[in-house]
Amino acid sequence: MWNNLRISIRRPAFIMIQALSIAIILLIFWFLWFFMINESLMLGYNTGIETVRNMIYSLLQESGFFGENAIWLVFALIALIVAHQIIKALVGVPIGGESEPADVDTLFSAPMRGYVFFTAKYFRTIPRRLLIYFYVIIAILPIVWFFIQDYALSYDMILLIILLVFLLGEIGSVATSGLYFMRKFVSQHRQFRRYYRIVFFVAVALGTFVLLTPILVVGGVVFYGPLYNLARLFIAMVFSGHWLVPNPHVPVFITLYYPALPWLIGGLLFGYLFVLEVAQFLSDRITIDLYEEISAVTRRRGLSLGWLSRFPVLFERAKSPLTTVLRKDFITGFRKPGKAFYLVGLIANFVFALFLITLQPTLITAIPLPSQLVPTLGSLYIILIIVIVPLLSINASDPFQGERGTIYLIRLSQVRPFWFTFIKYLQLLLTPFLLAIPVTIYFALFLGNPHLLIMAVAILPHAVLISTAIGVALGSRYPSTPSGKKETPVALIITYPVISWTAMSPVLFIFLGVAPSSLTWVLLGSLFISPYTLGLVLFLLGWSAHSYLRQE
Amino acid sequence: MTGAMEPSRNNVPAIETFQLSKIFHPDILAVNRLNLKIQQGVVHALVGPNGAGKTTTLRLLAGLSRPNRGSIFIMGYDMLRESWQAKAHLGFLPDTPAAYETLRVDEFLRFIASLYQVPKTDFEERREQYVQRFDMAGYVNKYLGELSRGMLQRTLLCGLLIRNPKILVMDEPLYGLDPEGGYVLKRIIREVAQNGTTVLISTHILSVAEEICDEFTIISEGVKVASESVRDLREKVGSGNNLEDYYINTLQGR
Repeated sequence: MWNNLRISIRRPAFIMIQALSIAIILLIFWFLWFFMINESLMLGYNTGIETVRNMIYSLLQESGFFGENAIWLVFALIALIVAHQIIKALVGVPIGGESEPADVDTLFSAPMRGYVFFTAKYFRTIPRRLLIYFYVIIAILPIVWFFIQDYALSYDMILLIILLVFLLGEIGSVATSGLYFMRKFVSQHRQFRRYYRIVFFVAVALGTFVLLTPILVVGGVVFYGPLYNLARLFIAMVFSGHWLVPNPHVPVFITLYYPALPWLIGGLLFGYLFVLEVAQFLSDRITIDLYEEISAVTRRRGLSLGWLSRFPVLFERAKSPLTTVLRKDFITGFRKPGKAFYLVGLIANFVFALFLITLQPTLITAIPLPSQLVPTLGSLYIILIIVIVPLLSINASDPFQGERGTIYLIRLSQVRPFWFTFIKYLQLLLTPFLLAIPVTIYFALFLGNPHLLIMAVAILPHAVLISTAIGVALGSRYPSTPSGKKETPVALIITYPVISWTAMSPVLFIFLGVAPSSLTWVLLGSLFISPYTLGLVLFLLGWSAHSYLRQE
Repeated sequence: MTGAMEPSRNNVPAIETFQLSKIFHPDILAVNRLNLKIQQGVVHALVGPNGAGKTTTLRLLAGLSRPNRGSIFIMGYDMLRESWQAKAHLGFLPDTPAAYETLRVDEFLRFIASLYQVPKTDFEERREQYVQRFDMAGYVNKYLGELSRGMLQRTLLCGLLIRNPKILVMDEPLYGLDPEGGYVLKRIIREVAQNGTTVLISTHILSVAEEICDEFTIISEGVKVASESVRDLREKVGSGNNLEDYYINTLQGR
């Protein structure tokens, strides 16, 4: 039985790439932290890093690449992402896409032209994308409303959040694509496993070093580690809030890019939608198979279409059962468990928005609510945390990120339920929190106002949901077995408020004006955001290393 | 589907392959220069040991996989050049059926009928007929994901039969069916063959091949080892022997 587990779950390639992906994502965040985010935290200690950043900025500006306007930095990022998507499309990394396994047998054996299949799948993705963006807009409504009231920064907030959300989606997408590609690569070249092992250990060592090193001085330049900065941030948030001064660059930045906002937002939404759709359209595994099939036909006809053979739809003619396929896709798509997640998420966000709007006068004037509510909230918090473990133990979602058959194997195996539950619990919380941290920090520190920082932390559960929604939308995180389909929506419905509450509790305590007298609770809540998450990463890396070595 | 002005294809073989080969990465030769010729209205069995290349052959014939070499003709249409016409004549049942788990049985049947443009009156008549024959009346509102393997197999068979294709290609069609379902399917196969439909099945159950098939081909390691009609075989091996003896002797004699 253990052999089955090792073979099916602890695939060294998968484990290794998973660890590498996490390390890469952390490194990206680390980089962003230093060069994009860290400014307002540095205060008097940031001469070195400030100098480096200024040098980079001036170098870029002098080279004329970004011009004198900071908006070009944003455009450059977008261009980078677009380029990445195009490259991904050309390389054709299989990422699953919109096709179902049954499509292979049912649709491909049918007398149906390629364009019907592609068009149907394309249309199928559009509602989902719109739903995601609608979800984003709904999620940020309370924050937007808040800033409309005090700062009239709605466009800015929308821009920042959407930009960050889709940047995070891109990072996740890159990690996912890289994972599948490298997994396939490693599987096909197992003879080099010794070198993979070396790479793995180097990555683990680097990741651990980056995570644990608080301050690093290289040639007189001071680098502050993410752990150190996170600790400072949350200590500042909890104790005083006065360490964080308003970011002097913010007004300048806003002045510069404000006129371009409508174009930027529109371009961002439509450009990203288009590029992502095209990329998925072209990188779907089944799509590629069909392309190959049709391009083979064109070759036999003596045609050489080159890259154009990837667009066989342009050259085909047929009677179209398009509406039939669309109808089928609509029904099957609508009944997927993810829809329950979206629905619950939307409702929850509406409720959250109403909550903030209703309590806004109270929150703004910082009038503490009756202190007798605190024990009740604390008890609720404890109960939820304790209850989450057994609840997640019945959750059918796959803790090993899409490795189908895991649940079945686990049930047959000798793994103790406690450990299985523990791993599931950690893994389920890991990704959304990891994704949410930079959103929160970036959002808060870019504006550099402690009052906004609190609101920034308040967006955490939304960021979690948005990130998770994107993850669900971009990948197949949940099993497709009939039992999984039945259990997953229930589990998601249960999980949503639990995660939201876990993330929101420190904020609520602060809002309720009980932070000084209930510091323990606040710190406990904070633990779930910073060192806790980092601990999870280390745990996962350690577990991965253990599994990898056992497998070898 | 084939057009009113098209010449009659009554005399062409239902299935014909020439030097059909399929290589899987990196160098697994699943099908090796396979020549098949199956006439219309014949029930043909593809038999062979595990890993012989039966499933790969059937998927090539159904247009689900692309051959590295060779050609395939379905009712005279080149599967690679005229796949749309070829596929219109062919119904395929995979060995491990992947189903749209969130579709109900009735929705699935309607989807198939719509996909293949079966006239509504024909669809209603055939659906009634096959749902009754496969004893599925109580399942039409169930999701495919809720069905047992046997019921799913029956549903997919219904989906095939309501199309009334000229050729049925079925990979281990009896696998997962209970005795009653198997009996019904065997009867249906004989009936559709009598009406001119060509049936190609792969099977491990040699007695089934002997019982319902007109002819068979034995393949091993992707290569055609033998091809006979059941009638000729019976005359050749005498009354004391059967296809099983012939199969074993043929494979051992390679």
